[in-house]
Amino acid sequence: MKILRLLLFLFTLSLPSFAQEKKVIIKYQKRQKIDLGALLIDGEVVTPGDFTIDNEKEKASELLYKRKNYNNRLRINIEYVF
Amino acid sequence: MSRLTALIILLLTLSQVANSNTTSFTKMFDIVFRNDLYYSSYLFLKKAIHSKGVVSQEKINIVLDSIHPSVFIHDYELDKFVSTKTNIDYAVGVRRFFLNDFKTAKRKFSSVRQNNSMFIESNYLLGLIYLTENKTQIASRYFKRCVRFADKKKRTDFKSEAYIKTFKNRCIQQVARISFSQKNYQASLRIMDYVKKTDYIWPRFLLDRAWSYYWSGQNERALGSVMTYKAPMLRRFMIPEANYLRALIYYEMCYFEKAENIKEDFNNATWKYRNFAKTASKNRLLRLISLNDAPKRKEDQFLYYYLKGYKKDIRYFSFQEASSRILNEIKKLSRVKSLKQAKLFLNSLYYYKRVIKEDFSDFLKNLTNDYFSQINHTRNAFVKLDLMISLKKRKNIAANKSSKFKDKMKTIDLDQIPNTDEKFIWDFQGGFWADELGDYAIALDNRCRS
Repeated sequence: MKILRLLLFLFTLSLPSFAQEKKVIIKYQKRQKIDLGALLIDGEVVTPGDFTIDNEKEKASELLYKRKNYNNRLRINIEYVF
Repeated sequence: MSRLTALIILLLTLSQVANSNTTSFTKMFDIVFRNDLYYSSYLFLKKAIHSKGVVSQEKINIVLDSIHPSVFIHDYELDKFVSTKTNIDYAVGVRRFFLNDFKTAKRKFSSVRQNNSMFIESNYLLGLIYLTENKTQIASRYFKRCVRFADKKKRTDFKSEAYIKTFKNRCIQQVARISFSQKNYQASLRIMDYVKKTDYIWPRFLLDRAWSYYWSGQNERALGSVMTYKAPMLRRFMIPEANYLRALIYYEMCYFEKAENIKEDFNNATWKYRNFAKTASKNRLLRLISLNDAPKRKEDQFLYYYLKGYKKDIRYFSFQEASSRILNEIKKLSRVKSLKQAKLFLNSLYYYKRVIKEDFSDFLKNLTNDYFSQINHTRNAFVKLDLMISLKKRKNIAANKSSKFKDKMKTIDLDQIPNTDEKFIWDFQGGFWADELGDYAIALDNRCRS
């Protein structure tokens, strides 16, 4: 009886391995057409402009000395109080 | 005359027993103080305080107010009072301040109370210390307190109205500069309005005003402020940076020819002589500042006019006042120099006289060294500006706008300039400018727009 049960158990285990051998065929869509003209984009369409020149101007302007504080005069204020 | 000598003999006799008697220092201080010998009384004051003698705060204030700060700076005896709280904390604080011991200086100046006559100086110095620590809000609080209490300070021979006003104005300038560094340009301008045009220090505020106007977009007013230096009376206050700012504004308003001319002027009138500022000896500077008329040599004239701007400075007149006062005391003590104690006094007084003179010579030397570095700094700024002008010119040539090189003046309606109460166009070409002081605006239109 025990032997019969064991055989039945082995038979049940072997069943899925037979099932795996079955080939799965995936079908792809042969041609997909995207109509770019019909696309709608939310937002504002902007042009980049000549940002490179602006940067150049900005950088060049930064080269120029423009007083922003008086930190460089502090030491002299301390030394020449009296 | 003989009464005074008798008094001195009396005090010197007293001083012989001083070592054994604490109260005698206080008595001696009183005697010398009554004879207006403040430098001598300062010597007794230290001894009296060291021996725990009691001296009235009012008398201490008068003595400390009458003594040149260089004496405190070089008085190593004050180091005895660093860790103890005394009535001469201000003097100790001044010495610590110049030794860069800001921690102790802060403690000492903070103990100076409102009824103390050195309250405004203490607040100014505290403000400077906090500025070095980048604590601008606290610094501003001390500077404002200095301004508030300046009017309450007692005037003396040594600390005259001009002296107190100078400190007050310095404090105003620092408050304005703090606002400026915080980009609060309108507040900065408003604060500077507290300085009257009649104050000799007012011209020194012109550049500060000009930068505030510049950053707040009022180029006409900025240009007007620096143009004020063109007045003959104010030429001595002209500093290289003012010239640079003029050129910068002209450049930004597309007056390239004008900007280039200013640079040329700078090269011919300032840059050319820079080395004389660097190499001039202390004695030469002392001689130049005391001259009444301009010297003949160009290089001497260059330094003379720069130093002339400091002739009404407190550092100059306090040096003169202190030197003559010490000399007077030395003369009096010399009459009794046969006494041993008098010799000790005299040695101290000669030492004080020497350090006051040395400090003032150092001040002049450092002043011209600073002038030299300002010139170099301005020159570097001009080189970059020159480069930018060349770039603009190149672009104009490429765009066929070479007519823009010629600076044909394009004026604007005066009503377009804000906050001008009295408006008029000054003809600098044929005009005569004697001694009018004002806050000018230049009615020039920005040519870049056209």
